[in-house]
Amino acid sequence: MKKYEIKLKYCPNCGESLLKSKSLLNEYWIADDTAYFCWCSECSWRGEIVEVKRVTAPELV
Amino acid sequence: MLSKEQNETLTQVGPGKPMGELLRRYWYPIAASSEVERIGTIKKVKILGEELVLYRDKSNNLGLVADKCAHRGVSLEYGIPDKCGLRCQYHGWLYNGEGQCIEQPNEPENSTFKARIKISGYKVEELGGLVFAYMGPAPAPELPRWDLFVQKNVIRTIGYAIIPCNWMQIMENSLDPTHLEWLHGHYFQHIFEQQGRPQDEWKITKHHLKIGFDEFEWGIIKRRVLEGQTEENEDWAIGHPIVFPNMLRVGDSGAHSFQIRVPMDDTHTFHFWYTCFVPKEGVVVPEDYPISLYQCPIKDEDGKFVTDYIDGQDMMAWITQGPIADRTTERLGTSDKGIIMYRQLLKKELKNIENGEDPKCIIRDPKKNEYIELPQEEDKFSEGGLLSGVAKDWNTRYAPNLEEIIELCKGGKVSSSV
Ligand code: FES
Ligand SMILES: [Fe+2]
Ligand SMILES: [Zn+2]
Repeated sequence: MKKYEIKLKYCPNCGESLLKSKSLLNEYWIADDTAYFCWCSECSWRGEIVEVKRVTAPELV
Repeated sequence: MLSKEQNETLTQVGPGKPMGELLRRYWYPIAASSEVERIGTIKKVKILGEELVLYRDKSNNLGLVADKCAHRGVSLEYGIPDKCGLRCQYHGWLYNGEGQCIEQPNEPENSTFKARIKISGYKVEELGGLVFAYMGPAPAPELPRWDLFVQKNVIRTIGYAIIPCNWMQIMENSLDPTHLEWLHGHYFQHIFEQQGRPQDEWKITKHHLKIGFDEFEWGIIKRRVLEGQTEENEDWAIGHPIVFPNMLRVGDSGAHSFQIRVPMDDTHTFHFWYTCFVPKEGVVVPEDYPISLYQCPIKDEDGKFVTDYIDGQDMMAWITQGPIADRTTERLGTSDKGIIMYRQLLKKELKNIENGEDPKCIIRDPKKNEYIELPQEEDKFSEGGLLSGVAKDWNTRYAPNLEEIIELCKGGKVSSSV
């Protein structure tokens, strides 16, 4: 398998590196989207970030 | 998917490692009481990266000290339990329960040398037929009196296995509700088919419509809604807990059990299946009925995993991920959210200890520790006593007295001597 790099790097709240070993940067997939579950050990911010590949409005379909 | 560094933080359990330090804040079962009942018994154990020996001395006290004698490093597994402590078999140095050397028979009588000799020594306590150890900083918290350890009028069994993999992948399996319909459902049916057994009475293949996880005082409550159910059903409305950091509670109306994962080192886990069989209403079971101890086989004589019982299937799933699951290549989906939540909880508690606080599930107030009741659905999968009904497809099938336990729980008499 080719070496895969997690794209996200910094805490959106405090700007610390989310790659610090005591933080959690967990990549996963929601259907077509790549999502990142983040918890920052510096400021305790917890949240999810989803990379947008295509803007859709599913409620209109 | 995690980075290599974050995977290492979660999986390294040795002294001085962040997770190792968090895990040291908790009590761990290290033996069944029945294994060290006799005065003079010694059992070697490995816990959180340390080789230790558990012994019962001649004053009938249990002790737990480092396996290596400080003098010239022989194993104290072959030591001599003394009146008060453990004596090295090689030259007679004597260590008390704290690991302090208190005698060196061949040194000058008034020598102070022994005062400077100490090996590790840890606190041990017995509860519910298990011996527990605490290896963290003093003062030790209370040994939690979880309901199953102290409940009255039940019959207990203790199964165990030494699992050759990291403790995290075992715990993550407990945060993964959907594996049930596959590993213990469709896969089980496949095994039945291969063995020519009838498959139609198997109940575990129902599809998951919804899974949920809630953090609560003692850990995480896991919930599910299966096909044909609603949120009113106990599987969702009550659910069952993962007790932080290393225990799963499962059960139904006939049997409740704990699965306790004790990290031995980064690639081995001492696993207990602690079960309480609950008698039928109105039935009183003998109070002094023995707790049987049995080993759960992982592989058969051909070296293949034993996969025709639920726990054997789980062990196959844990172990075949490798000694330490490589989370840099995993592909998690939305049904793996419980796993991610558990990882985050570990990291959050890691931060708590760095801030000088007690992590989750540390109990210091004895009044709070008399009997800690945990939530547990009893009407499992809308099938009532599902698990006890399939006691022969669980690890409990290796309990030498299973038949008798089932009889006793129905109101029968003791027929054999266990
Ligand atoms: S489908 Fe989950 S490990 Fe293969
Ligand atoms: Fe399982
Ligand atoms: Zn931050």
